Amino acid sequence: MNSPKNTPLNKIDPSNNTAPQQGDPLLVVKDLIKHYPLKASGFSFSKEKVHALNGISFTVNRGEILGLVGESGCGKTTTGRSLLRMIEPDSGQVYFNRTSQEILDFEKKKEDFNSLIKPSNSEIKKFSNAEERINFRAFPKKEMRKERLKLQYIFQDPYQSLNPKQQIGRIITEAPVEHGHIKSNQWESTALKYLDLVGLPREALHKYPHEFSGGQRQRINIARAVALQPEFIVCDEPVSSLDVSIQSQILNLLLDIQKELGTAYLFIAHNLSVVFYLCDKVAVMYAGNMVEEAPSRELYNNPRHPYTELLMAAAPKIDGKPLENPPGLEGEVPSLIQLPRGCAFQARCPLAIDKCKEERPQLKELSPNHRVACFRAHE
Amino acid sequence: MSLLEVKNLTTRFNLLEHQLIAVEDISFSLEENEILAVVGESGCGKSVTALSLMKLIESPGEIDPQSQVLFQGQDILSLSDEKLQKIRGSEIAMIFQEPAASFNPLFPLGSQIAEALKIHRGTAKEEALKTAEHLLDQVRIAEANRRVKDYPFQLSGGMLQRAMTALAISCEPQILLADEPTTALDVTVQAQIINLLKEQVRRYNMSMIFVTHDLELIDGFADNLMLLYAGRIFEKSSSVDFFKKPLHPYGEDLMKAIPRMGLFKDEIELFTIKGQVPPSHRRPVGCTYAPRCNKCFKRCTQEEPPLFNIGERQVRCWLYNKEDQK
Ligand SMILES: Nc1ncnc2c1ncn2[C@@H]1O[C@H](COP(=O)(O)OP(=O)(O)OP(=O)(O)O)[C@@H](O)[C@H]1O
Ligand SMILES: Nc1ncnc2c1ncn2[C@@H]1O[C@H](COP(=O)(O)OP(=O)(O)OP(=O)(O)O)[C@@H](O)[C@H]1O
Ligand SMILES: [Mg+2]
Ligand SMILES: [Mg+2]
Repeated sequence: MNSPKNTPLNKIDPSNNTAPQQGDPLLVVKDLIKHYPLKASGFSFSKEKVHALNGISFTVNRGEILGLVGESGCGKTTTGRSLLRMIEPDSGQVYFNRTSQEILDFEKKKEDFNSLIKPSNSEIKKFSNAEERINFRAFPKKEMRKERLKLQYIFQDPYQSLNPKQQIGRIITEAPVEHGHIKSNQWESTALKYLDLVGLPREALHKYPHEFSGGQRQRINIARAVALQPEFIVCDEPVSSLDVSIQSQILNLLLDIQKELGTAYLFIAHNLSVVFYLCDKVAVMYAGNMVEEAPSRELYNNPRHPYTELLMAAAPKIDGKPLENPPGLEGEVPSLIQLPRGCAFQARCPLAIDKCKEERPQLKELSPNHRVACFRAHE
Repeated sequence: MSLLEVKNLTTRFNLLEHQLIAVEDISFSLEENEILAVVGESGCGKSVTALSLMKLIESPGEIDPQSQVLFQGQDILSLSDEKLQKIRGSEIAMIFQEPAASFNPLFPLGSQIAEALKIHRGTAKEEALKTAEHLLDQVRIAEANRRVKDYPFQLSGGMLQRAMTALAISCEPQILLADEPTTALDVTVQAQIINLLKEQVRRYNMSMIFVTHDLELIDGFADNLMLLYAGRIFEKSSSVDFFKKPLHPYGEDLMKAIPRMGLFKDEIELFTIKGQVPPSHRRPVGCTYAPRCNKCFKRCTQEEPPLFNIGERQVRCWLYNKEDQK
């Protein structure tokens, strides 16, 4: 396969010892918070908010696939879009392509700054200047737009995310031409290269989206995202609307691209089997919080948060047995408008103790790489 | 006599460009208390089958006049509209794949469910509203007492789907046609709804035709399974038999393509079915699955196989041709 090579690391000047190295993380997210204002109804002003993200932290390494699972409305899409600033999060740090040292230094700076009781204007200015250079979430618009080309998003719905009036070749190469990645007369050869990469025939070049099936349209979406040679792609339920026969084709394609180009993904899905299979590590969200994170195999063999166990037990499986009725199944998902004080899962949890009602458990390491936010798991 | 007996159901759409045969020569029966799953890929004719059973096909679609749908012995397809109205919703109810098909956007949910109860069961208004609230609660809609007054647009897709389930079971029908009733739901809510449907079947002696593209959902839930491909029955088996070993290569391939919980990419490559379902106006000669089938042989590309009987099971595949085996 004659495919474009992504060479972010080779482009880095080796003499510059502050540049990210192979061992440095690609993306580090810290304390991401997003509260949507609730639409005021009629004349009443409402200060109520939807607590969609309440301090989400995670790391994605180069070429790694992180899975994100959780119930509908728990904040998965908000997480994915916040990373790319398609939704502006309220606060938090998104370090993209930074060395571990740089991140440490800035976190220290931030801590110092936050400990100032009454920072002076110049101290504030100095801090926000530093932040604008390192925290993607705080980048000025222009720099943000430029940096964002390295981050791409694949939408769930393969039907609505393609312009029906545009030919496939143009859809794939529009952004690379616009941003000067390729010359406008190269669009055809570039489009062909990516059509080949995602396994679509050359004839697709001059066709329109309606001429393709759901699975083929998802391939077009993937080609469009990959054509910008991103280092990181958020895949928001890319196979949820597809039949199993097409689903495995798309999953294999995503794996091929990861191997070929070294692209890292945040893979959002609700199908646990798919996530365990595809992802290197998996994060579980519940009501705007991350409740557990571990390498796929470890999470599958040793789930420690009661919500993770519930998700696994409630997933339909082919084993000749009726669906289980696991503890917690009947409970209600808490309202994100008025989050309970303690653990958000406590009302459904078979293991809950008094402490769980009072205090919110923090995500803490249980063993290397395995983090759980549950008092009972840490006993 | 079976509760429902479908004979040679064929439904076509006479489109401007071409004629589309959405389901072709489908026959099956449904017994009391039976859960029959209708499965297959998008576009294979699952919804059209379900809609045809209630004679809900509109122009340019038409149900072939030779087709019969016998409900308690009488042919639904030849009933007057008036008689049909009586049966729909009360004796045979449907959960539509498209929520818009069930609810009128102009009225609150509760009053629409109450209206159905009034028409089909003669329930008094006050009581009907109470029942509606109870039903919404049963399908796990939080704060049902408030939600009954909501209009359809105020509910999320998943909630609407659940409200539709409430509407469909409100009159305790004898047959429930459930068209993908859990596709927009989470695994946990899905498990709740499946449990609720099972409970209804048991408690009210209901029968159900459960349409889905999700094979995993069927195992341990449905009694029997009918696998469709490009408008045709490919296999009919008890679900125990099917999940032990599908007869049709297409069924085998589908089972292999499902990623199983606990498989990891470093252990095994996902099985893929090559190609895609042929568009209905360009179906190949012979077996429609032949171009994708890895067990295809010469006859498959020349002649369409009939349904062969294998014990209690049926399969449309030349591999099971008894004459060859003699
Ligand atoms: N623009 C918005 N304004 C107000 N609330 C919003 C907005 N977008 C999302 N929300 C709310 O924020 C919460 C998280 O939504 P999000 O779309 O991130 O969930 P999700 O995990 O992706 O769900 P799904 O699995 O259904 O896609 C939900 O309660 C949702 O209703
Ligand atoms: N109203 C209609 N007009 C024209 N063609 C139709 C109509 N309804 C269905 N069809 C066609 O009939 C065939 C069967 O459609 P059907 O909706 O039964 O598929 P399905 O198995 O339910 O698929 P899905 O899983 O996507 O719901 C398809 O080719 C579809 O395009
Ligand atoms: Mg989402
Ligand atoms: Mg359908």
